[in-house]
Amino acid sequence: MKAFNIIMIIAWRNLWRNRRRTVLTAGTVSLGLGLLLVFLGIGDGSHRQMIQGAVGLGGAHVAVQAREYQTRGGIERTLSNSQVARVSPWVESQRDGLGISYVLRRVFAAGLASSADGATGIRLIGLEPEPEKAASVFDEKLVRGKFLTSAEETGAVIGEGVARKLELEPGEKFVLMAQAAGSAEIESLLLRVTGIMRTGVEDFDQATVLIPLSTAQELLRLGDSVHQVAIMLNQLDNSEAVARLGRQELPADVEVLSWLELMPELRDFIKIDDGGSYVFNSLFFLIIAFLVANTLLMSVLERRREFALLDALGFTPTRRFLLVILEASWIAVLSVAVGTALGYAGHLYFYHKGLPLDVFYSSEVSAGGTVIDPIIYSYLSWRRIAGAAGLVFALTFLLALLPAWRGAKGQDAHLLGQA
Amino acid sequence: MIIVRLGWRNLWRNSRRSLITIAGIAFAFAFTIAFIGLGRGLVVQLLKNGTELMVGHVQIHDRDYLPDRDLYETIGNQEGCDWKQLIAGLKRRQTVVAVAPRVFGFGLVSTGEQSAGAQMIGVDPTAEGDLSRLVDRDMLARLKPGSVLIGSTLALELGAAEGSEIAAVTQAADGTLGNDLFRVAGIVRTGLSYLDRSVAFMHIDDLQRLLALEPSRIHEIAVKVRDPLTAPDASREISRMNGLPEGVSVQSWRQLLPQLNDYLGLAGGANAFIIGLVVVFVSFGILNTMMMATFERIREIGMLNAFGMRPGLVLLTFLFEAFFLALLGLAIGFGLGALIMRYLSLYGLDLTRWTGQLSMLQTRVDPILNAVWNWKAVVAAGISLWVATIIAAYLPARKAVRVDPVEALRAPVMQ
Amino acid sequence: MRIWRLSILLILLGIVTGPLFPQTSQQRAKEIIDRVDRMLRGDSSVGRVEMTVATRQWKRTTELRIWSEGTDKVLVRIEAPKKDQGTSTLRVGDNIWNYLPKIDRVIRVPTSMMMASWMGSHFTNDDLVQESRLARDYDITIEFEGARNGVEVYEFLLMPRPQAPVVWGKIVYQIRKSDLMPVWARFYGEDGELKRRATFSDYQTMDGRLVPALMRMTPQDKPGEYTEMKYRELEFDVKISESIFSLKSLRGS
Repeated sequence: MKAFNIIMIIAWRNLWRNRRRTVLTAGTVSLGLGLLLVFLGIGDGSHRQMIQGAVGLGGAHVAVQAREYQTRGGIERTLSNSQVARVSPWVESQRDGLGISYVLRRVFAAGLASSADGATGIRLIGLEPEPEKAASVFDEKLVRGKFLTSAEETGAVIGEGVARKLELEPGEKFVLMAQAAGSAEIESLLLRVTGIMRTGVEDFDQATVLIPLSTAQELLRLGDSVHQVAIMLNQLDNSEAVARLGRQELPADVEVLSWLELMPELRDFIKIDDGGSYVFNSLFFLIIAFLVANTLLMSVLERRREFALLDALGFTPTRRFLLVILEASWIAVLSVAVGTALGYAGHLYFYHKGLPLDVFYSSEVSAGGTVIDPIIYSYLSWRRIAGAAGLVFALTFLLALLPAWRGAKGQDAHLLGQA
Repeated sequence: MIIVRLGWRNLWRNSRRSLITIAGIAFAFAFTIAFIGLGRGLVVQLLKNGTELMVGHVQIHDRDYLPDRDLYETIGNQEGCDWKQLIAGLKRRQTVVAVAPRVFGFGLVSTGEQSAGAQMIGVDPTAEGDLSRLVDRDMLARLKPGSVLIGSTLALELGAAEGSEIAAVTQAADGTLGNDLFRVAGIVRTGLSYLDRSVAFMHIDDLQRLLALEPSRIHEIAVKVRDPLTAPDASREISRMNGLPEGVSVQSWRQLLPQLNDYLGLAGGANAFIIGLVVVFVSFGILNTMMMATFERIREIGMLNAFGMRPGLVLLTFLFEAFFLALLGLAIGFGLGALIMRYLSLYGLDLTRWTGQLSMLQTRVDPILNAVWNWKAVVAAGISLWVATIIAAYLPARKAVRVDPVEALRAPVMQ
Repeated sequence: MRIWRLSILLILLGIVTGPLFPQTSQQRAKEIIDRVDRMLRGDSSVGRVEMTVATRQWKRTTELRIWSEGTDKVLVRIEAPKKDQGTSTLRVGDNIWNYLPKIDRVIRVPTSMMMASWMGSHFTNDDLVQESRLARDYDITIEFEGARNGVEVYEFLLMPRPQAPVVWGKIVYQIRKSDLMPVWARFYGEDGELKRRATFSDYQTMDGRLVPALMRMTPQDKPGEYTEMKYRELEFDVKISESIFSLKSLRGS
């Protein structure tokens, strides 16, 4: 064992005997890893922002709905009060464990909004004013007026496109028409605009009207029933786990979905974005590999001389082998340590300050059904760091191994005499 | 000029080291080219996905048609135009790949008790198949006169399926109530909810008749060009074409889809940022390589000094060596890069290998990433690497020439 | 449609109330409306109308036959021109169906099309349905009583009740004092802007009642466009069999 320790120290010292080589090699790898981590952080960060954005616009991390509501819709496919009643205690019991921040009830329907100046088809969302104000982003997206309150039963928040088509401003009235559940009757309701929102998602702004849940239930003759119980979590990443748990523990007459199933469009968009990133990061990885290999290859001759000396001093092949492995390990450890530190520092910078991409474009941009934030905040999970660091470690180790290996093969005594 | 030749010769005195360095520069440049190419390819792919669904790259309308899409504002005003000839003329152009005529209307579709508002689009099935990816070709081929293709959500609302009979009713251009019966030839699933909810494709002749529009009257001509990035130029050329009807406006996707334009700006910007970082990184890597190479030659430098060569000249020699190194490296790198680009631009990378099958976006997003040349970036990268190489040779060499020749000569090989 | 309804309403005023009582104008108006409303529920009529619609692009005239009963049943059938003969609309309660003879199909009008134009005119499908709710949705008072252009008139102000689902801010009707014939009706948005106007003229006696035989509806946002209804024949208190207001009758005869 003692021999091992000694060799380990020798290996470390060897690194610094040729400080330049070590610094340059480790430096390249570190910088490369640092950049890679920054790329990963920005990529993941932008995706999370997109997901949170979509969730905040009437989506959810986890949703409980009637069976087949997701695939077939239908205003009659509701969750009865008793079904909702069974969800609540489960949520309450899990609130701390699963990190649930909000539970919201919602109703969805199609209708017609008309004013003295025009009419247009709309999608109606009945929601609970106070919790939604905190949980969703609707409130932040208001450009005029205020959000809903439970007190104003006939208040409505409308999308900017709707406001334009109907020529409405906050305080003005319009009539909402919808077909009640399970009947042929058309119900009409007078509403007053409390606020106008601009989400940046055209489809949404052109056709959405938000009203208090109770008002919607009354208009559509739903009684106490709702279409969705939306569960918002503290941690986006827990969504699938919570959904799975819900499926196990809630009765079989309801469907529990995570945002991946609720918003498959977004899920696919992110997947394809990830696919592209994967290609780029791999290519970048290759670039790092080549640059490092290049640096190391040049040191082969030198190393051969070094090992020749050791050989002359009495190092056995086994010991030479060990030395080589430990040297490579040290370089790898050093590079990865510094690289991770660099990458993490970069991540922290973009975590706090964000990457401002709004210099490149002017208005809001949407894709995959949600708005893309102009300022991207980095998000780096330990898993990502471990993954990247691990790969780079393996790469550096292997690359460092090669020239050292070559050098340690022995029979280079003839090199000792050379100048 | 002996210095130049000396520089060149020096390269080959230690061919192993030189070759390694050249290889380093070459590969780094080649991969950077690929990186840049794929980055640009990604932007182009975004552009294609945004436009090739339905919009096309260039569109022709009557000046007053957009944004309200008034039924009466047909191309060539009330008289219409000989659009078949116009389309034939457009197709003959070098840059044009596909051209499709369209008529739009809004009305009611019904299966009797179930009715819903629908956005009716009259198309020429073959032309539309060549141009847009929204509906696949086989589906469009089913669109004979008397049939209709409806969106999936719309079908659900109407309780209609393939083979169902649908009545379409609309306010015709002559004030009457245009109405006719159609058979559902297929259900269209675009993945875009606002389309699936309301779209009804029919044969262009049918819709014209339904809307009481003369055969010469259409609302839109959509054009697909070879290179979507050149669409603005193509649109300008087309607007200067002979035989264009009066009062017409020709626009490219930049004007038709300003949001997409912005998105591309964003993507391009993010791309530039990343490529910038990569080029800096690669330059740093080359710097390292060169520095290592140069430091190893301290003895050489000392020797030259001892021989009486002026430090300035020694330095210059090294610089020329670096110059040639970079030249060779970049040239080979460019060749390699071009090969990689050729493969990537022709075949592309199929991203579904990593993403798995994409259910929702299948029609809308082309999962094959092709590389596209971005000359500006490639040249910038090349210059950057060149400069890096020369600086990398200069710095250590400069340090080395200052060293006392005796010390230099004595320098142990293990340094 | 609703204009015609209200005009009938006010015509009946003349018959029911005779000389007006010396009460406050609000009370008077309310009493009038209440009484007439009760009458209208049992009222039935059959008529022939010539409807002319003029837009910026075309002008068309069609001949219609209209059956109506109470406040929630109407059947309209096009009798000329030949091309459109047989096209019909049936309204029962909240629902509207159209029959199209060319394709021989009955189509129900969905909620999303309620604000679409009815038969190409400047009336909406919703207008067809809303007329019955005037009394329920509006507070009616007399805003002005006096002479306009040398004619003694009343101007009735209809203000929507607090939660009434109507888009108008207010409606004003001008009625001739002498024979309670409507002169015009003006529809305003909540901002006070005039949105559309209806004018009545050509007062004739039909089936013993004085009616405005010509009514023109003009939208304010499309100058030059209008819809005109010319009553050629009108019969009141006609016995209409229930089966007329059915989907079957929508198709046939």
